[in-house]
Amino acid sequence: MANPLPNEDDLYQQIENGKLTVHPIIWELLSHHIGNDLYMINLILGATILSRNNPRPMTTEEAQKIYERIMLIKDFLDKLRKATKKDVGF
Amino acid sequence: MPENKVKLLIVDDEGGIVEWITRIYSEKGFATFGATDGISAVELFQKERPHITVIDIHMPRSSIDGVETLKRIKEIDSGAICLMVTRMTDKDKVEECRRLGALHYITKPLTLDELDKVINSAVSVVKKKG
Repeated sequence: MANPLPNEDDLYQQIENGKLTVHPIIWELLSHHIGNDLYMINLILGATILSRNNPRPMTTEEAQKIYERIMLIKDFLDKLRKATKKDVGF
Repeated sequence: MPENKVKLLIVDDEGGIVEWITRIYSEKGFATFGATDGISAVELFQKERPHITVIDIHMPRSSIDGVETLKRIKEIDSGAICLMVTRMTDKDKVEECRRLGALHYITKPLTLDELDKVINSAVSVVKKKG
């Protein structure tokens, strides 16, 4: 997780108190795209530099695959932002 | 392929995921097989009779989804050891998989350690069965 925001605990509390939810369609997209891309990144890292049994340096090709997955996450978030854009807000 | 190796079948409609998991577990000493479609997975199961099958529930690019794949595999061998990979939004399907006799389920995004844990637990079941 990224460095926490200075008021992050307060934000989570506001979500809980206000019973704010994420629409199921958005959860569906989030869990599909982010779930698969992070899964793939975890597999590549787990098989190379973070391997418990046989750690090894990552090849350029493997690093490229991770980069591609990161770009897919970015593209997905851009698309989601565009689809959920309102006149007010983000 | 030595007969004493544990046979592992990976079913996911993302070719990259199948490629990586089969590569990782081959290096760990498993005999691995992969399928990117539920129908091919069922055929491969029939042919190779893997000890453990890891099935992604949500496979939009496959002709049948993971639940149907599990159902058809269980029709071939009711004792088949199947592990289901799910998403946070698959709650109803997880229940159906449990009813169909899946051994465990794991939720994406998962780490290799988490996958290792359930596969090792399934290996223990395989060894107990002899």
